[in-house]
Amino acid sequence: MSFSPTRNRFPSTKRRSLAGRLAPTLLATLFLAAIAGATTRTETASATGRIEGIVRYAPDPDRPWRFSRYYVKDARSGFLAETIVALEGPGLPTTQTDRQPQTVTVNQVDFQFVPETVAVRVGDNIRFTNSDESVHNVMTSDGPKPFNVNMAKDGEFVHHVGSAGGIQEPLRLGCVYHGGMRAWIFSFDHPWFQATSRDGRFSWDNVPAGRWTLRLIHPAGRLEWSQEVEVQAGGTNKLEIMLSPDNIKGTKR
Amino acid sequence: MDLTLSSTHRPDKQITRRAALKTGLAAMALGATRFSAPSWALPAPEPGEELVSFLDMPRTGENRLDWESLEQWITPQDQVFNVQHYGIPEFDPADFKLTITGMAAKPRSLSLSDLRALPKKDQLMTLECSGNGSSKGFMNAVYNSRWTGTPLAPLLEQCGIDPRAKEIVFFGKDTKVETLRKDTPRELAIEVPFGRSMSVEDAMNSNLLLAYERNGNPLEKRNGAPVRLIVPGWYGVANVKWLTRIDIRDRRYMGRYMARDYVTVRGERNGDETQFVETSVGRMNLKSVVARVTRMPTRNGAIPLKASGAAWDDGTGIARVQVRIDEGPWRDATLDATPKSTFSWTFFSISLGTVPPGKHTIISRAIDVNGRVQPSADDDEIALKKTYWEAYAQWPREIELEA
Repeated sequence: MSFSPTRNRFPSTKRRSLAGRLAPTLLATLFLAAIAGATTRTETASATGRIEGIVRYAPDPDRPWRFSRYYVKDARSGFLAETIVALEGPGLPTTQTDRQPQTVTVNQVDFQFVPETVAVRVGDNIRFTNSDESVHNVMTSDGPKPFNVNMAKDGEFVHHVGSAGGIQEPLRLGCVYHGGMRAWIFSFDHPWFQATSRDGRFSWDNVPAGRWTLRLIHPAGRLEWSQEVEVQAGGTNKLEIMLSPDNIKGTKR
Repeated sequence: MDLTLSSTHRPDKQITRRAALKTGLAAMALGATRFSAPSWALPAPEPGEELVSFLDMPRTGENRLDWESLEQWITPQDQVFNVQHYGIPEFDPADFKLTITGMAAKPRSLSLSDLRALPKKDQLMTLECSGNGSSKGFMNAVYNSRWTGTPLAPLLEQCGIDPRAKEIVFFGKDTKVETLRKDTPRELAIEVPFGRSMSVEDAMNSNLLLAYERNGNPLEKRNGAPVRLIVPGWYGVANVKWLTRIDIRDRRYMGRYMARDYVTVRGERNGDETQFVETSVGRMNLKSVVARVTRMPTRNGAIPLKASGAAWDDGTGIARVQVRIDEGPWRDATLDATPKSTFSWTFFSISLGTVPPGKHTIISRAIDVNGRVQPSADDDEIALKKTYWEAYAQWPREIELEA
């Protein structure tokens, strides 16, 4: 059966065996084991390497994750979108002198922030707009400069991102008039972060060689994951990250 | 009268439709025909049956009812909303005291332990924010729970209410500085607690509860812990959270959320004239919602379609729910026989037959035991309503079916 945004598979009600329920965890373990051997050297001698990866979600019919219909591309691939992936660790360089500040637009359309999950560098700007007929609001209580701005149709408000909260402390945004609207702004003081695409993909070139923590958060779906990665000069780390209900924040393992 | 559920039939323990389906399938596998699926279960999803997403609806996040995955009669905690106007108050629950003051012969001060030592009662209730349904961005602020606490009426009786008393006011721990007559020479800024009131008669209704548990667990702070007033059949705003004082008075309380906000302004026909009348938001209205639509694969160019949803009111009683697709006739849906409780929602389901591919509108309307019909957006009581509270109009749901 094919899938489309308007046609989602009904959750299976067939009870799975113990092995079936453990499969996502086992798969994740196998993938992680594969990661260790996936680093390949290139001819280029350099103090940097490349990381590229795919984030997938393996469902468990006994533990349904109701957000999958928004963020998982299709059941077969499990590609997980709008996941923030970032490197962490002492010694990770924080400067990038040739980069000009950018402005990212977050629109309010059909009572939703679009995009909902955003990652930017310190110094960038977020431009909020409203395409709905309804009056909206953009507010956050997070960060050093909380704001609360009403916005009529075609309104605009620009927020300058002045500090880096990293992957752990995003600005959590809402609309006081429409409690279901929410968004997250993640800010970093280095370039090794990304929101996964519709195909669950992310990649970075010029990652400093060394051992770093690769951390992943899906703020809307409350998924978390992290793993040490060893980046070798001239090498490429190819990662396949398989998440499951075990990665839901607060889930007992 | 509320249905009393025995300890062997606690709805929150086992009543998911998925669990019911499993039960039904297991029974069939055993050939035990006497174990038919419970009457409140949706018809089992058939092979190939799929959920049809509604068009142009925002995503449903945490702490909001996810209509399209609705399957539990008792709402799980991660789909329970909370709204507060003065913020969530910071205080040490160990210091909690509930005082009963004002026109009482014997005022009282009770700790949480004191309240827990009083007679205990369960109350099933669907709690809805009065603004729920006011826009596409606010359609998920409703949930069904089993609240546990001690009944309010006996406690008030023990305090000896002065016969001259007219109202009971319920104050929360949450406070805020409110500015009256802003930008005038008589501007006044005062810190006030959140408060709501009701007549002595309404407050003495035996269904009201001083609740300290929801679904068998202590209340979460965001939902009013340690003690919340529970008023079955009334909109959420009447169910005062972080309850700290009950005051008995001989005159109307006119706090912001009784007299200035949560005031519905509605035009009423009076002969040839329309008069606008302001009323405080109180009892809930008759309402139904199509929660989800499912389809089967296309057969001979048409698509078999089903719909299901929920209906609720102030306890008057849901008699029927009808559903129509596009401009077709209204057709009676099947109401779940159990679980059922006076102040809780009732689930319904209906087969809509086969429909052609393309865009369609599906809409439901509830009819209560007195024959009252849930109004459409064009009916006077909705069309002439100028405020967004009490948003109980029929809710058209748009879908698009692929061949």
